[in-house]
Amino acid sequence: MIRIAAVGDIHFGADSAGTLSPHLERLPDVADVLLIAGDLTKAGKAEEAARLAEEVGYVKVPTVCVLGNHDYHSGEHEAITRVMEQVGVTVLEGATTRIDLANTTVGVAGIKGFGGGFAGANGTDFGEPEMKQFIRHTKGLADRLEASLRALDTEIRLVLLHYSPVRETLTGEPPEVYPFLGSYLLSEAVDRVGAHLIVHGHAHRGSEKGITPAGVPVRNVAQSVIGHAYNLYTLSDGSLSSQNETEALRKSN
Amino acid sequence: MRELELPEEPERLVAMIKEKLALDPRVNELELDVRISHRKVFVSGRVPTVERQQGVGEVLEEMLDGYEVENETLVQTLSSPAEPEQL
Repeated sequence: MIRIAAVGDIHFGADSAGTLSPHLERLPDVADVLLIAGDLTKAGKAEEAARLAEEVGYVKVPTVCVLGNHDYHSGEHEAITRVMEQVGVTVLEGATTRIDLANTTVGVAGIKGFGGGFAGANGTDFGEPEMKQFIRHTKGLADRLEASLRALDTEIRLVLLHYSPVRETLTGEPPEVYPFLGSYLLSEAVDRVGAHLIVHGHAHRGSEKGITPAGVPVRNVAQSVIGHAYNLYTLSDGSLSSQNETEALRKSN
Repeated sequence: MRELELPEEPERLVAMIKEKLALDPRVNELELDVRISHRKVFVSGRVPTVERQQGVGEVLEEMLDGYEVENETLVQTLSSPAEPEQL
């Protein structure tokens, strides 16, 4: 069994000091891993990440994050990555990390993701260079996600995103902004391989629970959605759900 | 430099306010709700800190000459996690 703590959209700034650490003190008692689904900072400043690093740096469970759109706003995303890595947080962007627990092995494939919309109301790789660039960017990220997920040989496979892979977890947001909140290409990439859980943020007014077409559970853990310092999920064994496994197998053939 | 004129059309004014709330370093919030009724501007949604809630009010007061402002934002209070969800 693995116990997962997850949160996104913390939006840490100088004014956030002390808001998170009290909730993290008992984390080792309740979770084996902490996933942070992007938007670590308010405006993408390395100094904001440093404030967050002071609070999560002492957490005694493996902590894995991706960056979000806010973390790119000031062009300091590389510095933010370094700040977090300096306190032992793993920052993923098209990469994986492996966590060996006493009773199982866990792999996390993480990438920020991007927009484009959802099947039936999605952008197309056609027209102006800017439009093609937009959609091709998401396609490229989805390809990298799929490749990194395929490279995991762990019993449990988790996917960490900032943007949403499914429409369901956007429920509550104005439909007009769905194309800027996620893309179905991300869930297609996961469904071709299979995973046990996808965690994302970004949709502050969305809903917590969704599922991919192949049956992979999706959880929107944006802090304003869950209303907690983090949410907890447990996975009882290493086998993919039968629907998820069957669908992944079908798509790979 | 001349102050930016406020558009009369509510939709355009909402767009201008939302962009300002996203870009102003006192706020940097993209997902606040803005609505306008009878020259009264209502802003709602959750913000992480009291400072950012105050920032919302300051930004709106500075830019919306001639409008009444209702800052209905709430400061997100974090509670400990609920029981784990078994997946």
